Amino acid sequence: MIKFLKLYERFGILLFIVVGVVFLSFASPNFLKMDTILNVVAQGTYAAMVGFGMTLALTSGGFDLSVESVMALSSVFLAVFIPKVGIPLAILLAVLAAAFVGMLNGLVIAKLKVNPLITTLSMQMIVTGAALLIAGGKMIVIKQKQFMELGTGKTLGIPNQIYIMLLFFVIFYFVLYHTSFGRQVSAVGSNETASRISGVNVDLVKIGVYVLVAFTAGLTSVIRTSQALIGMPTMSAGFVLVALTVTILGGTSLAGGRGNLWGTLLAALFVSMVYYGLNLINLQIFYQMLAVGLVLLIALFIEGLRVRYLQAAKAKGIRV
Amino acid sequence: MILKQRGARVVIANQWDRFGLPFLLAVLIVVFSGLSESFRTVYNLVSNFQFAAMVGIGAIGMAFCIMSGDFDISVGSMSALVGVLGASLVPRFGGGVGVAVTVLLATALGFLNGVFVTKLKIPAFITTLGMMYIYRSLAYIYTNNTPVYIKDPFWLFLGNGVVFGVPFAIILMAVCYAAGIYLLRKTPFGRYVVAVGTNRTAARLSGINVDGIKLAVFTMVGLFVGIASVVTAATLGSVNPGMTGQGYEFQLITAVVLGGTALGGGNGNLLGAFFASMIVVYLKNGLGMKQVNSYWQFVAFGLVLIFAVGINRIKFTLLGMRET
Amino acid sequence: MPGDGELLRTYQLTKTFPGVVAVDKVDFDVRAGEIHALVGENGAGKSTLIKILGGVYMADSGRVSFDGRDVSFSSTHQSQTNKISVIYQELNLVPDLSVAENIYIGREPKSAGLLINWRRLNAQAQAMLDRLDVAIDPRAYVADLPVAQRQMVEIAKALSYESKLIIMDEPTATLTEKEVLKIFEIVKALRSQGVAIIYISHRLEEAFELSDRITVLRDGRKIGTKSTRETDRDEIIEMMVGKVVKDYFAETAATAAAKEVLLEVRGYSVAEHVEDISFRVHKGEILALAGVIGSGVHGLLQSLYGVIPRKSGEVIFEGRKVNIEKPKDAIRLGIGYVTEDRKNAGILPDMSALHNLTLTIIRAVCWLKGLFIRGREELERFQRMKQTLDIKLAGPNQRVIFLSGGNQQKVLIGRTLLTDCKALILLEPTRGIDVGAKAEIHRILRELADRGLAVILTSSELPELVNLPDRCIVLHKGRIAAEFTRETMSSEKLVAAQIGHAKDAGP
Repeated sequence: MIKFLKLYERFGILLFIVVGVVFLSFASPNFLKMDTILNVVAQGTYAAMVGFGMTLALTSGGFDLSVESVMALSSVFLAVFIPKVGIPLAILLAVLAAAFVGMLNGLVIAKLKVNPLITTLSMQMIVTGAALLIAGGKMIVIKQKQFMELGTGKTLGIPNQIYIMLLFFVIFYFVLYHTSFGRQVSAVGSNETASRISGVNVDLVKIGVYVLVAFTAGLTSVIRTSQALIGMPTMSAGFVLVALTVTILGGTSLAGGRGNLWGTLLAALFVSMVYYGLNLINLQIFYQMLAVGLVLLIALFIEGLRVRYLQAAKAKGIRV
Repeated sequence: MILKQRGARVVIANQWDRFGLPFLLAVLIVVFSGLSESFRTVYNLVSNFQFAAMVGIGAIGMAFCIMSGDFDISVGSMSALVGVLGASLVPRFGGGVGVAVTVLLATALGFLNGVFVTKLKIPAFITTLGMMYIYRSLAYIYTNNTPVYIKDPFWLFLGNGVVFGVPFAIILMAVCYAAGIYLLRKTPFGRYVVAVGTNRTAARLSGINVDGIKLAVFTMVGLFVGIASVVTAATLGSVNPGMTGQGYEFQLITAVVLGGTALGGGNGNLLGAFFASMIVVYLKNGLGMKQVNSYWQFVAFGLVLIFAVGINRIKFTLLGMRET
Repeated sequence: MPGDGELLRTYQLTKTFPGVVAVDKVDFDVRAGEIHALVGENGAGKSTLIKILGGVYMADSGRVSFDGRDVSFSSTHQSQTNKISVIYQELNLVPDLSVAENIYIGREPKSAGLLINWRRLNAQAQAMLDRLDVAIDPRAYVADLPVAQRQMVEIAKALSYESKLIIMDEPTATLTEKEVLKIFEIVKALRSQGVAIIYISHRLEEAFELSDRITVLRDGRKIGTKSTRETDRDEIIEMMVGKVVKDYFAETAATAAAKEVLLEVRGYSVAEHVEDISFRVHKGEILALAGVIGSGVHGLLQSLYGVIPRKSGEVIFEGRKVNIEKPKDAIRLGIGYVTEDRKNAGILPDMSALHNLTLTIIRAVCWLKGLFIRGREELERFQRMKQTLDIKLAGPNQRVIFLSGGNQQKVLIGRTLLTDCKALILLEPTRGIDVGAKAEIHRILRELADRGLAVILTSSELPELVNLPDRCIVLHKGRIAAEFTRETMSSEKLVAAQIGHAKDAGP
């Protein structure tokens, strides 16, 4: 049992995937068709990408509730700047704006030592306001149709966004597990004091993390905006929930130190499968939010039980 | 010499506690009155006072929560959910039942939040984050995304009625604050809440049932949110599953922190929370006037919270107390 | 310039904290390639001294010269890069990273400047581990390693910085016999490699086995440095303990013969702390449980109060078997507890002294079972306890953090006493308190015992153990090693028993 519980952290998400696949294949004959599968995967790319960033944040022992507003900001930036400076430069500006917000988050959390909840919650407010101000409160239509190519185009029959997500996965994977920075992120989340004493520049690491989270959110927003061709100052309500859910469901520990990128990716796919399932029963969009919220609670519940069980075993003297 | 210096610092900190917020409020009112004609009207100033009831009453529960060292960010969605549920029952069961259901349901939801936090041992922020979305989506689903209007005279009275020249909402707020202050200062429960927030281990070693206290605190959050929702629904005349309670958690946390309660847990300043609630409401109103682009509200609020945290830090450092 | 291989020298090093001089004008030196033992009772200043050398604290005055240069470290990282490594009791390892990652965190070898070169990382780590001749897989997660091996990882980390001086603080506290021998091997190997080692340990046997020289600290001052070959255990103990033992505290009057049994513990085990312990505590008696770190005393007492769970065994209180699973159970039975960690687990920092003191009985001074606090009655009970314990403060509403350590401790004791407890457990009752306050607290404890309370305490301060209790049970590595009565107690015997040489302790 203990072995199972310890393995669950790394591989538990597979259970969910298997259950989901089995259930959906029975529920719908269409599910196992290539088209559908690609669609499901494509729908999961947003959650996955923002989830990668969130995974990094949780691994460092913190979290970022401002990702939604950052996405809105980037979207608005695109809408405003594409007509003025062209697509590539506008994308750059949008992403830089996102990264800037991330840097502010990191500075307040690391240097001013305000806790991540308050910081990112406030930032969410401020950036939402900023996005609304810049957009004048309206959705801005992007008239440059070529921009759509990015988000809706397909290469070799597979939607572009899947490639982008995979690219991101590879990058994050290398950063988290194979660079000094990534290892330091894990160290800070695992034991901040020990890291500091061992010479890690904890402040810099934290700032870097929040910049990356926001950067990823910004890029995800670029893809979304390109699909809708509208700059949305109130985009993606509920994204924070989805990002946190896929991160936690995927096995990343809330305590920090153990990031599970594979888990996040698979969890994003699972959530996409959940959406698909909801669509099958023709439930409205509100049910999506409810479903994700429930999934989060279930994931937290399982995690809570798991930790308590292992703690109790330790008290009994069993080697854990 | 050092004692004298420390004395001066303590005086400054204490003066801020006592006069800082009312002073700030006064400044705010003066500034906005100068900026905008519509702000200056008696009608506006008084109705703001009524709106303050929503934030003010909710802040009491949130204050206890923060004093015990936790946060509950589901309050906005909770408010929407209980509001639509209660209001929807009015046509069939009457205003009294509607009000009762709203308050009781909110209390129950607060209790539920508490159960998750204490039994599952998950940090409150993420539990209530999940609940926030769940409550909100339930509100949407239940009403099919249509607002529910309140026409029942009893309910409307609770928000808009006047008793001996004083708006009922104000009376209700005063009663709630009296109850809150009493709980905090005159009951063991209040001591326990502060103890749990200040030093959980010490509280446990002294035999305090930490889980029980936390459970009670979250239930309180629900209770006061319920009461506040009733008043607001009456004042606005409707409950909107999407709009009601948006940003409410932010307003409450800001009110409590600006009011002087320490973020990491510890002694709470309920009177301060009251004045801070007023500041929050008047600020929102002032920024909503035509002269100012109302979207500045968001930016302003975000900055206010950070500013409030900063002020608390400075105050605590001046007093030589530990930083939270 | 230092002579004949001198590596480190401190000149009149001083560090003060509010209320206590931790390090008092210490002149101390270490030679290259020597093992230098640093011994002394708790509070002697060893910890503070090495923290100054390790960059955690900055000295208030005095100089440190290392390898020919004057140095002053403002961060731990600085001291590390200057070739001084400190291995603290609380190891500074990151559990979720591998051994190799821990050793080289922040300075991993990279290929193409960006990605970690795992082969080289593991190889380098392996090289360090090989120098210590330990069989640890550099790819293993630190979280999976037992404490002994984690310690070795810390040593390997120190080596990787090419440290010339490695300071070890109680390295063997929680190790088995075999593991201790391994540490000895490693330390000796390091010496032959030219590394100097400052070795802090409560266990004099280790000092005598390993070191070339021994320095004794007491009350922040250096009492003396002796070449190990030219001294013996008795002399060192005398230096540690000093002649002060007898005139430190007023000789507290011994009580009459033991009365009835209040609390009995049978076959009691707590995971990772104690194994199969049995003893009795009588009313009116002061019983001390003594033991060095790793002996399990703290865990035992915490478990008796319900702070941590027990693995097996029985507790019999007032003749009845009881089950204590949380502090509230203990309080209800009439067992009180004063924590050793005043700051983090004892006082409620931002609350007033009044609130702090009455925390446990606040419900009792209310109308209607907890509905309305009777302020006046609360104040009265506070004043009474204040007088009994002679707590000095400006007023009941003074914030408790502004009180001196001794007065804070009295507040904590008072808080427990208000519950009319029959047994009182105190962990390190006079830690960090000045001499005068210590004597007062001892007087209070003796009075409580005379009134019929059973007082159980643990302390790492020898004078306290020798003078105060009626009986003293020494624990060693989780089991009872020896038991002394007031007549048979002596500092030498206590120290001997604590370090595991109970047989030498005599009858």
